[in-house]
Amino acid sequence: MATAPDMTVPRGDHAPVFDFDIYADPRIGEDIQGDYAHVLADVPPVFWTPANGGHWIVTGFEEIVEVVTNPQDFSAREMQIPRVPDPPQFIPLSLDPPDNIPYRRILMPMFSPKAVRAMDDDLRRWANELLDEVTVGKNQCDFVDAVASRFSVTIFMRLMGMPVDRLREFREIADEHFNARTPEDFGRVVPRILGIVDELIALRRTQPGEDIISKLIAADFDETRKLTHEEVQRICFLLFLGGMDTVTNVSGFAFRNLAQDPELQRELAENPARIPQFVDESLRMFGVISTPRLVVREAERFGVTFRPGEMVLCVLALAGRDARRNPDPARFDLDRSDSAHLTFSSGPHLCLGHILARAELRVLTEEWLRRVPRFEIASDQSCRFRLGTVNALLSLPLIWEGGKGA
Amino acid sequence: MTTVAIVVRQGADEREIDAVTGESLMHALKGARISGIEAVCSGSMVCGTCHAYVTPGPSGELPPIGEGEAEMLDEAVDRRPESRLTCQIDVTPVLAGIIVEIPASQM
Ligand code: HEM
Repeated sequence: MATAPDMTVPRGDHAPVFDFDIYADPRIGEDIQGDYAHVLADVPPVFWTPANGGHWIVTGFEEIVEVVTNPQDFSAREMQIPRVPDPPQFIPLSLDPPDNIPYRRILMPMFSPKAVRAMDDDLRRWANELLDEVTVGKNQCDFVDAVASRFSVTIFMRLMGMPVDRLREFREIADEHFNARTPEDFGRVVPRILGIVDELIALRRTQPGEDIISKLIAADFDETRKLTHEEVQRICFLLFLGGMDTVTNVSGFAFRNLAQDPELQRELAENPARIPQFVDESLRMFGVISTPRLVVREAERFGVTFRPGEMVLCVLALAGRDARRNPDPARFDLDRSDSAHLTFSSGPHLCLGHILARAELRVLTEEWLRRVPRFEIASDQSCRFRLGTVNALLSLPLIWEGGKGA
Repeated sequence: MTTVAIVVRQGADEREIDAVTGESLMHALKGARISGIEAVCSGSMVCGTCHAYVTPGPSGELPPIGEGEAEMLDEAVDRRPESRLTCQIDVTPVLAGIIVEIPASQM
C-alpha cells in the first residue's frame, strides 16, 4: 500500500498537500474507516487535496471541533465537493446560526431524550416484526438489504407518516441522491424527492396525524407564524436523507465487525446490558459521514490559511480514531472509558437524530442477538461499499447456525 | 484568571474540582473528566447533554437561565428546578462553592 510522507509536498503557502480522492481513492477498500486511518496515518490532520477541484481535508478530533463550531469562518451553506452552481438547501443544515435556531427549536421536541424514550416500545415492535420475518426458519440474509436498511427506512417512514408499501421506492431515491455528483444528477433526483414530500404534506394538511409532517404543519415559527410549504418541504427533505442511510450504514459496519468477533458476540448475548457500550464503541469506530463546510472568511488556523470559496471536508470517522483522543484507536474495546467521537458531528448542526439513532442501533442489536446469538460473514462473498461524503456498506451476507453448507 | 472551587456530586460520590474563570462550567467539568457530561455539541446549546443540577454557593448567585437554555431544559429527562445547561454558565468568582449534581439518567 503506497502511503503518505513522500507524497506530502508543500503547497505555496506551506499547506501540506496529499492527493486523496474521497469518491474513488484506490487505497480505500471495504474496511473503509480502517483504510482511511491507514492511508492518512502519516498525513497531517489538516491538508489540501488537489482531487475533486481541490479542497481541504480535516481528520483530527480537536481540529474538526474547531471547524464545525466556527460557522463565522466555516459555513454550512454549501456542502458539495466540488462546488455546484445551485446547491440544494436543507433546513436547518444549510443555515448558519442564528438562522437555524428557530427550526432546531421546532424539531428538538420530536427527537429529544424524552421523545425517543416514548418511542422505545414501537422501535422494539418494529424490530421484532422485521427480524421474525428475516430469521424464523432461515439461516442467512443480506444484513444491509434485509435488515439494516429496512429497519431504519421503516422506522423513519412511520415517524414521517409515510406509506410503508413505498419503502423500496424511497430507498432507491435516497441511494440515487447519495450517488449524485453532477448538477444534472442532482437536477434529476432532487425533484423526485421533493415530489414525494409534497404529496405527504398535501395529505397531512387535510388528514393531520401524530407524525412529524403534521407536527411541522402545526408548528409556530418563533411564535409568530406558521412554516411555509417550502420550509416544511426543505426540513422533510433533510430528514429523508439524513435519517435513513446513516443508521443503515452504521449498523452495517457495526454488524460486520460483530460478525467477525465470536468473543464479542458471546459477551453481548450473555450480557445484553452491555449493548449500549457496543453501540457507542461501534459509533466511535465506524463513522460514516464526512461533513463539508465552505470557507466564508479568511482564517488562519492550524498553521494554514483558509481562503473564502474553498471547501473543507471534515472526516468525522477519523475523529474517533484520533490517537490523541482515544488511545489505541484501532482496537474495538467495550470497556473504554472517556472515549469520544464525532460521528454525529458537533456544534450547531450536531445530528438532530443522534438519540434516536442510538436507540435504533441498541434495539436492533438486542433483538437480533436474542434470535441469532452466533453468526458470521458468508465467506464466499465480499461486501460491496460506496465512498463519498457518506460512506456506505452496500451488502453484508451473513450466515448463522445450521446455515453452513445448507 | 483565577480558579474557583466547585463541588461535583455523582450519586454517592462527591469531589471538589477547580474551575478556571472565563471558561464555561461545562468545560471545567469536561476538563475534570466528569462522566455524565457529554456536551456533544461543544457548547452550541443544541444537545442538552451537559445538563446538571446546579445549587448556588455562599454567594447565593447563579447567572440567569436564558430563553434558549430554558427550551432545551424543557426536553431534559428528569428536569428539576435546579436544572441547568452547564455550557451556558460562565465560571466567575460568584460560582465559588456551587454544587453540581450529575443527573442519574446521564450516568
Ligand atoms: C447513526 C446514524 C446517524 C449518523 C451517523 C448521523 C450523522 C449526522 C451528521 C454527521 C450530521 C451533520 C452535522 C454537521 O454537518 O455538522 C447530521 C445532521 C443531521 N441529522 Fe443525523 N445522523 C444519524 C441519524 C439520524 C437520524 C435517525 C435522524 C432523524 C430522523 C437524523 C437527522 C439529522 C438532521 C435533521 C441533521 C441536521 C441537523 C442540523 O443541521 O441542525 N440523523 N447527522
